[in-house]
Amino acid sequence: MKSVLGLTVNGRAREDAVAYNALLIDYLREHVGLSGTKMGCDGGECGACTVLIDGAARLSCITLAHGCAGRHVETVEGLAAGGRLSPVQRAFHETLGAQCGYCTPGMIMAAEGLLRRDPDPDADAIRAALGSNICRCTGYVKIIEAVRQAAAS
Amino acid sequence: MNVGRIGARTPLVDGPDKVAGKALFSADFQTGALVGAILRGTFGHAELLDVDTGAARAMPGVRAVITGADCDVPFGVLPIAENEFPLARERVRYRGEPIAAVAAVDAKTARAALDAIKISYREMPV
Repeated sequence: MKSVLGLTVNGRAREDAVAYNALLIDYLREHVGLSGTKMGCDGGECGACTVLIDGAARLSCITLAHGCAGRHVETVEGLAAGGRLSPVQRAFHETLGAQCGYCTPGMIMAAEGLLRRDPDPDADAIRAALGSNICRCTGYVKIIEAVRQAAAS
Repeated sequence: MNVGRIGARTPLVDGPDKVAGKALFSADFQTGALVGAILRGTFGHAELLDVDTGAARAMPGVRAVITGADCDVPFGVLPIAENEFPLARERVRYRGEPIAAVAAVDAKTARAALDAIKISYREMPV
């Protein structure tokens, strides 16, 4: 069964016929065509699918698309307005906070959510905010450095 | 490579694409590829009496269903030990051994097809 879902994705209002049981990640990747949001564990454990819903970091693989009706969803593609990397994106690139890059969109969205509510987080606050985002390449030192650099910029 | 670069960070050539969400990973290609799923045994040791795939094959969106009956060529890590089959034949020898495989148009259909396969076992001593 499908019904019309109205929401905002990266600042743009949309209305789509979406199945009642569709997950937000599948709606974003397959319906909207935004493949930047990654499916890692498919169970809310790895954080690769993190997006912002009304500015707060949420896991799109355990969120129903229809649960976002009327809300503002932001994905990693929405940060680089006009093709310019956002401060968080630039910091992840410059500090080598991305290696294979698969966890990176989720890391960046979790960091973005943190910096919006706490513009100057210390390392503990960064660790807490990114605590449910798993990276199997770089470890976390450069990722935490990236968030601190973004906060300072 | 310039010696002066040692100790300096060299940005990834694909770094900007990765942080922008533009980098394409295998799962990001919309290729129309089929989705595979494997049905696994639930006993540590059992005689496999029958694997009925009729209902699964008849489901819309299911493109292929195979069982051990389709896999009669043994393989092995060493030439002297080519005694394994990709899907169980006649006996299941460990919990989780693959018994049947399905290819379908999407993951939901593939999972439903696995559920539609009926296996008859006779449990044996472990």
